[in-house]
Amino acid sequence: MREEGYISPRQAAVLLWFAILPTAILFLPALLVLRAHQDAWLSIIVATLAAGTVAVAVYLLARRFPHYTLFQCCELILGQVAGKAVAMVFVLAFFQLNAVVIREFSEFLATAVMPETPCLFFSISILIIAIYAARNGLEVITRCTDFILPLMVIFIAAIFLLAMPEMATRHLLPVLENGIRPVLGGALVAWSFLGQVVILATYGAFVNPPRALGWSLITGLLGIAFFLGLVVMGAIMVFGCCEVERLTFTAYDLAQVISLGQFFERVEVLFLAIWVAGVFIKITLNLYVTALGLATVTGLKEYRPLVAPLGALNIVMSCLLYRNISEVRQDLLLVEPGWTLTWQLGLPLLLLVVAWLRGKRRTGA
Amino acid sequence: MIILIILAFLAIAYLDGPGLWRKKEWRELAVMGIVWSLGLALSLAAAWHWPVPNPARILARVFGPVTMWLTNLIG
Repeated sequence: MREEGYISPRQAAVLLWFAILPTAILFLPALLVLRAHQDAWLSIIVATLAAGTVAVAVYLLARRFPHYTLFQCCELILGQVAGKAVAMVFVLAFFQLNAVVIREFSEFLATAVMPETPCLFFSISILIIAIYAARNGLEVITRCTDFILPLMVIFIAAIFLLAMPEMATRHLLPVLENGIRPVLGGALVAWSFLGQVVILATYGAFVNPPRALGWSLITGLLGIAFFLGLVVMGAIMVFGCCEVERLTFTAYDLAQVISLGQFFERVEVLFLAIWVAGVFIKITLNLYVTALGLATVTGLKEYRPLVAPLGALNIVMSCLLYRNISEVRQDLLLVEPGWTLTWQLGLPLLLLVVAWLRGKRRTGA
Repeated sequence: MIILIILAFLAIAYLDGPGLWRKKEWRELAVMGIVWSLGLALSLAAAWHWPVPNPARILARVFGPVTMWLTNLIG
């Protein structure tokens, strides 16, 4: 299944930021600090290196099959039956990922901001916009990011700068107090977010020129690591690692401590507005990728008719998956790392090795 | 609640269904129909509090031990 229109490498990198950062800055730091304590920022470096292997696999796959999506690659590499099965695993995985993201979004709003409103209301309202955006195609989604990106970047930087009076660098010490193992354990938790760079293998097919994909992978990953590191370090320096462990929505709590001269306060509401815009891009992108993948697997000419039913199914699924926010967090800590390692690292590497062994490439297309 | 769910799903079907029917895109219509009816069935089951197999539980049963093993191995 092809889509008309191309995106530039810069836009692909920015989309990659939005595919990971919105939920990562909110949910990841607390879980990360739980495992790695004050060395959480080292865990991010380790996890970024690990995500780099996926990035390399994605890049090599894209060099072998330029202008083919991950789902098409599966079929080209593994043959009709096995290829369709593996592509279907990717589709289901992106679907499940999106359901979790929708749940995280609605649980955050219902827990932290509007406790009287039912979760379902938030997920339905964001999905209506996401369906509308995803039906318009990838170019429209990328143009949305052009508007939201400056807000997001300026705001994360502003939170960090304005919270500086509360920070104490001694919270980051001692470095490597318990050796390297807690850092690696933290990296495992961070992996389930950072490994989502594999999403670039799907919409990377629409990046023009294809050889610039490496550049967007590198800038994408480095940007993600930078902003995630900023939020994690900021949170540890403000609260101290024992306190961060007990937080649920780290970046939001970080915005809450900002107070300049008793009048510049309560900026978390602004954070909320911008964060909702960011998570909207994430949900839209995942929905688009799921619909595109399902259309490829079933051999359709169009992905558009699938967007709305898939969105509806996603809402139901996000409600059925977990009972409350604690279950979501427990899952992120105890289940997701193994699952995401399997489909985000294992499957792409398998595809690459099989393609290399069977000598498959499609460079003339 | 039930009426709202059915109305919402009818709206989703109306969004693309008639166009596909006129263009005789049976394959698209079939795949869309499967996803659509799956969504409707799950929504109704959720509204009536019927027991539905939970993918998160299945994932937890399979990959929970994997994560545990990995955590014990390196972390």
